[in-house]
Amino acid sequence: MSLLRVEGLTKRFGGVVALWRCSLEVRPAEVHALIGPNGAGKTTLTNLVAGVFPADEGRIVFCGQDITTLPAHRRALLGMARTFQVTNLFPHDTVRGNLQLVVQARKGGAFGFWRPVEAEWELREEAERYAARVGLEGRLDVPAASLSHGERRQLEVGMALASEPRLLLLDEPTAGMSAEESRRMVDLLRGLRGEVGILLVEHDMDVVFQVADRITVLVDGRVLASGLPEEVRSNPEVHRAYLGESGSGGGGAAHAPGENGGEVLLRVEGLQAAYGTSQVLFGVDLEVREGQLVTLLGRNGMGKTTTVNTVMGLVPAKAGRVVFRGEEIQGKPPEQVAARGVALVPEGRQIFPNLTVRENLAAFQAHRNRSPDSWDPDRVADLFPRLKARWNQLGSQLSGGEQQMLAIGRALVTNPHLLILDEATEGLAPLVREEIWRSLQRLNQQGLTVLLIDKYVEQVSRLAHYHYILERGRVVWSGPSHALREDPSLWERYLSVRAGDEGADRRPGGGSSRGG
Amino acid sequence: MRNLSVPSVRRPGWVSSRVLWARGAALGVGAAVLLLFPYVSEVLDLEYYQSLATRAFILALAAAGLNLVLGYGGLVSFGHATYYGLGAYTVAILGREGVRQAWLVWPAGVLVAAAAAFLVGAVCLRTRGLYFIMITLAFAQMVYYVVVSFKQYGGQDGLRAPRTDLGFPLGEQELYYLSVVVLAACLWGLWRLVHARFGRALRALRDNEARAVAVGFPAYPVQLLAFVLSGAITGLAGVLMAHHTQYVSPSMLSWQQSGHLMFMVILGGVGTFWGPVLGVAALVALEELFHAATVHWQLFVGLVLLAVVLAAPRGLAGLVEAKLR
Repeated sequence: MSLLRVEGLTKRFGGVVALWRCSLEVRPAEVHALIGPNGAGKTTLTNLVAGVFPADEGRIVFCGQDITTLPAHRRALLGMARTFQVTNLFPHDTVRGNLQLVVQARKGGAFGFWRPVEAEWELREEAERYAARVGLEGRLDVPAASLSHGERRQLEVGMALASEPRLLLLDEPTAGMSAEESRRMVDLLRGLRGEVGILLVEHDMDVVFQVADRITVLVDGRVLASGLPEEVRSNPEVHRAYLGESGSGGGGAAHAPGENGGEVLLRVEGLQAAYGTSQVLFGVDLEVREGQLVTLLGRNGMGKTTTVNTVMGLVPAKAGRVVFRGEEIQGKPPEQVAARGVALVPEGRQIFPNLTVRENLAAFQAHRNRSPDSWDPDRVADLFPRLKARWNQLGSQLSGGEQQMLAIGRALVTNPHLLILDEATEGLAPLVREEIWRSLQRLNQQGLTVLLIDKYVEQVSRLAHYHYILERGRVVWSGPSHALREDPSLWERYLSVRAGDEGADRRPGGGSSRGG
Repeated sequence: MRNLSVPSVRRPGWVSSRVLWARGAALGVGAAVLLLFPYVSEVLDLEYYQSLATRAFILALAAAGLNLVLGYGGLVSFGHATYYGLGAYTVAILGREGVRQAWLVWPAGVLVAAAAAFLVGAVCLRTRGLYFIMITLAFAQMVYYVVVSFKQYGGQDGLRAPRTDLGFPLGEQELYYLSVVVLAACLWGLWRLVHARFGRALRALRDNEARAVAVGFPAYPVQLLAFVLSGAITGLAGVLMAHHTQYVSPSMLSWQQSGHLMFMVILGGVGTFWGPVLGVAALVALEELFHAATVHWQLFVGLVLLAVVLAAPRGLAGLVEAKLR
């Protein structure tokens, strides 16, 4: 008997068919991976299974019961738990508090009116057990809002587990994780195999091929293939539509203007920043020259995002200087920094959900016109044809990958002097990721200066001219690409990538190269 | 792994034992002051302040009731005067019809308020955000105009509200003690409620509704129950206020009254347990102070409120909490 059976599921969002007669089956205690390009309907499918919105057609059967019209919280109580693509926690509650809520929902629910939950020791102890299971036993009293990105994802999985589900819906559990954190997550998922059924949406093919018992490939809302990993890996159609040709990532070596570049566009000196009492940056120094493509590397939680947010004026600088085109901009509010020609593509996209694609772009178009080929929405549509197809859809109806493209397009139409991308390839399919890197390289060749944060160090090191490595809020190394590539100790020490396996580990089409 | 978690469990317990002592001492001193105040005021001829204190206790009860939905539920109800006024009007109308037994009138007032809250909540909780605010306000205005249109119950002019029969003569001093006891009992019940499973679920729904539902908490029943309980407590405050003023008027049902209640909660600290009490104490004291000094007292009260809200986003309770840390 199957744990979950989806039959002929169809879902439309205002005219666009997101899913078309999809069927799949998850067997008890198997890890079933759902893969496919961005916008293929993977998140839509998990949302339908979880009951976030109703299906237009088709049936969902869970443990032999038809749940097609059951509300979300009833499905949760039947034994279905999910994680979210964008982490979704109770931010003011501690790790223990978050987990304890889940245990409470399972054991008795909301309607206790007299006994304090603090006195319910069995809830507390069980919450602590799940914290230990996902490796957060040392962080029990830390509010969820203060956790690092990787820890939040761990907590997400812990919360899903704490509901003792029969089926776990995992939406990109390794998104935004460092190599080290990804590896821990893979170990955790492997430990769950045989214990709980898992429907896994994941773009990292290494993760998929390490943990999946069976794989379903979704393309354009339809099931393209379904079966054992070897079958899927050797299916030529799947290669064409999703996995891509192996080893094509990144394009050629870096080109002029080389390390020295042109004029200094952005100079950061002794930058310090803190969130409340916890200091994150302890004096960051870096330089971006006109025409360069520069990366900011380092493990999660080392201050990369804080650095660019402080440059942007989103986080106040405690000390230090930020000079952009000869003018000191530290302490200026974000809109003034943006008006001077700095554009940030923030982590987590943050597009406007209630505006259409076109409106999202039009709202940001700046008529600075510093060159004849300045950016407008039409040119963005040429860069990302997929957006063109969704031109009049609302932002909230886009898939994660499409939202990411829109976020980049939105930054481009401000016609910036400096484009900053914070994990811009987050959650994108391998093919799209490469597409974006190629576009970035092309834009850079046309003269756009780019500052890039990206976890795919191997790939971006081929695009970029110069690199800065952050460790605990300081720059610990900087240098050109060849110096970075020739020093494996750097990778091991600061980037958590074991020397020698960075290629296999971080190459977007890594899985396919072994399968071809 | 176990021994890693042990100190982190102990440490908050140790801090809170100190806080517990401070709390215990504060409660003891507070109880003594509250008990002795009527005698002192009698000796010193300060009976006006005893009446003022009674008023403050009753308003604190109403504010605490509102705080359950506004603070813990994150649901901005702009119509809580309805339940307050309905509680008070129940006393006056039943009194007019000759029903004066407290054991009948008091539960009736609470039930009428709770029933109204159930009906309003059942509709409003299907909406969120601005719509929720507007619909609670719309219902409140409907009730206001219905009450005004009942000429036999005073219409615009209001209605005398005879005190009910509790089995003992109900003078000002007795009413003072009654208000203290009712407020203390309700606060205790609310304390248990918000720290029990129900309160956790309610706050979880406030902080992240989508996630709380995915975890398995049903949003609608939990929030509706909170809304009804909140309406009932506010209605009980209305019952007490009718005893205090011995007169009810449509202004108790007005949107200004709703706003006044909201302001007391916000001034004290939304979603903090002692916020409503602190907010009422501060507002009553301020109004009294400026009222004595100038005819333009409302302007100055407004300015002080503005300053507090800007300087302390979590209200007075937030300031006190920061001091205790």
